[in-house]
Amino acid sequence: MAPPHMLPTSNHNGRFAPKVRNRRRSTQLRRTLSSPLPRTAASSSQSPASYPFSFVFDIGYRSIQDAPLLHEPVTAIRDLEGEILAKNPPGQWFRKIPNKRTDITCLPVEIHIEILSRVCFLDQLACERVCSTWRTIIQRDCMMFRYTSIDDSAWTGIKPENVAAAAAAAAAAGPWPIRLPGVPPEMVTVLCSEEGMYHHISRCNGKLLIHRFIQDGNFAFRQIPHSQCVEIMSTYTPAHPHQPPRRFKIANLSFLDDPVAIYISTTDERDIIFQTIHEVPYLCVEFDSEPLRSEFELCIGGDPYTASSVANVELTLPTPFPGSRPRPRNKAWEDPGGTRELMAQGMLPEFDRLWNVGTFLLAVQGKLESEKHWYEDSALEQNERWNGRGFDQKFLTGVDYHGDWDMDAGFRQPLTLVKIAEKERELLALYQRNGFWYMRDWRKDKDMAKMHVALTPVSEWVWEICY
Amino acid sequence: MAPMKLLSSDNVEIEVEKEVAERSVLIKNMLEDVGDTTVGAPIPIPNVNEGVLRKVIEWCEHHRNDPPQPADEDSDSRKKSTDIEEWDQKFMQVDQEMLFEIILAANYLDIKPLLDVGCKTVANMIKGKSPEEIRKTFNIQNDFTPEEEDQIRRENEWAEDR
Repeated sequence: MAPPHMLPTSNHNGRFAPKVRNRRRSTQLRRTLSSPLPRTAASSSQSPASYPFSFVFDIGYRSIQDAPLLHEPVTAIRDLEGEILAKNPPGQWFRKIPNKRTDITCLPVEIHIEILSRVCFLDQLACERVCSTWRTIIQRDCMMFRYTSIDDSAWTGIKPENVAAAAAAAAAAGPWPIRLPGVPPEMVTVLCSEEGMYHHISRCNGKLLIHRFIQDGNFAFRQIPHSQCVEIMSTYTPAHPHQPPRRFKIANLSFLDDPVAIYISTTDERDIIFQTIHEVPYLCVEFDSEPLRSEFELCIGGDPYTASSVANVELTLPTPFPGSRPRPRNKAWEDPGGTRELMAQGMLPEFDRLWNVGTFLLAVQGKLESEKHWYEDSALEQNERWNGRGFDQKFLTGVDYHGDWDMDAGFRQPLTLVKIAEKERELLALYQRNGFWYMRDWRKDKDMAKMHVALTPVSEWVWEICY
Repeated sequence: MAPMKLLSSDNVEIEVEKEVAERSVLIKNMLEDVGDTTVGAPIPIPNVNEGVLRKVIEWCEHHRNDPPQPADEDSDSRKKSTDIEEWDQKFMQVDQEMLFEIILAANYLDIKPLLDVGCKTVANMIKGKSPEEIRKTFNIQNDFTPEEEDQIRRENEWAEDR
């Protein structure tokens, strides 16, 4: 019989609950972006909610400090003012000047922070481009407003038999269609002593941060006239129904580098080991706009292997203005509990790079194009598409049965998957320059034999269907 | 309730009920500190002129029965909403000079709900505007250095026509 510490631990639902192990730096499990092998979509098929068009995030390791928007603030208001004055000529200066007509420049920086923290995400993108003070404020104090935190407080005090009702209530209360896991996340604390080992089941103390841009679903691609390039557009729905919605180009694309979702676990002193995919906290986000609602669903959760590969990092998440008054950021960031946090971040298996908002938009765009507007006979498609025939041979040798990649130019010699990955990166840069998005995609049945490489030229069709 | 007097920066005495004046945390704390020793003497409000002070008092009178905001109010949910009550919307339909004077006064007098309304009003004025439109609306100087402009351009290269 296996010793007690080797036995799987099950909870009251009969599911395996994640184990807890001593703190360690899990660099040995770390997946890197340079991994040449495309990962299969196995996590998709194992997803707690398998939808044919869904993307599943594997929660992978990334240090919280690696996410630029979550950096420790380095600029206090005093320093900020010093920087403004040091400019030659001095930058925009916010202070009350005697006998000067009062305008917004007379408000102290603290109130500018209060104002900008009430500006919605898309407007913050514009505000970041107004002046250096606002840019600093947005980057320093308001970045976390790009995210909505979805914690597990909905599960507090809920009995297992009432989980479904609680999930429905939580979904109804949310500003977007959202489904919570069918089972509250749990954590098993294993206490070892000389007398034996004790299990204590408690709630997993974690949070999912979802980017607001994803939740809104309020975006569209617009082809720039007389070019093959696209702009990302958004829409304001006016308060009065008689006014038409206003479409506008998003002024600031820095958000495209933001992580789509961040999972934070605040367990102390231990890492959680997720044993099955069902233990990994996950979330499904349905889009509130057609055609994305019916075709696209975002699932965040996934691979227990990478979900377990988190690292301990110091708490740096801001809690803007936890009191009722604005205050300098460095004071707001004091952490009385000294909690350490673990952060895992979604990775993009199909693209073998981190899911960020920009990559996600590419995927959305590719989905729209590939499902409904696929250029079956276009020269580009004929030239570039991986036709899927002779997959086994292709997988082993890097070529199909014709001995090439069905391409009129390029890829004339057999390629290994490493070479393919390199070539893809080159093509990505090349085609983005030329106004095309390049992506590797998986068919909805996740059959590797049907994996194809596609160029997805942008068209007006996308623009129209999003409105 | 007994009336009390406030003295504006331009030396105008304004009579106001104590309950109304105590919407200001500054005045409330001041009254608690000094007790009854200065009964009848006007409380100086040196940073707020008569016009703005009357406007602030008007807001306090309308909201005199509002329940106090909880101290641990969820800051995130507060920030997400820019909804303003209809009365407050009308109250804030003033020129920009008065709007920012009210915000400054609310900050000075520590009237958090009024500061909220003011900030939300400004946030609504920003809504849907481009950076240039925002600068024009509020008379803000574009003070980016060439290096910063270059950095901004680089940030926008993600999907820009290249």
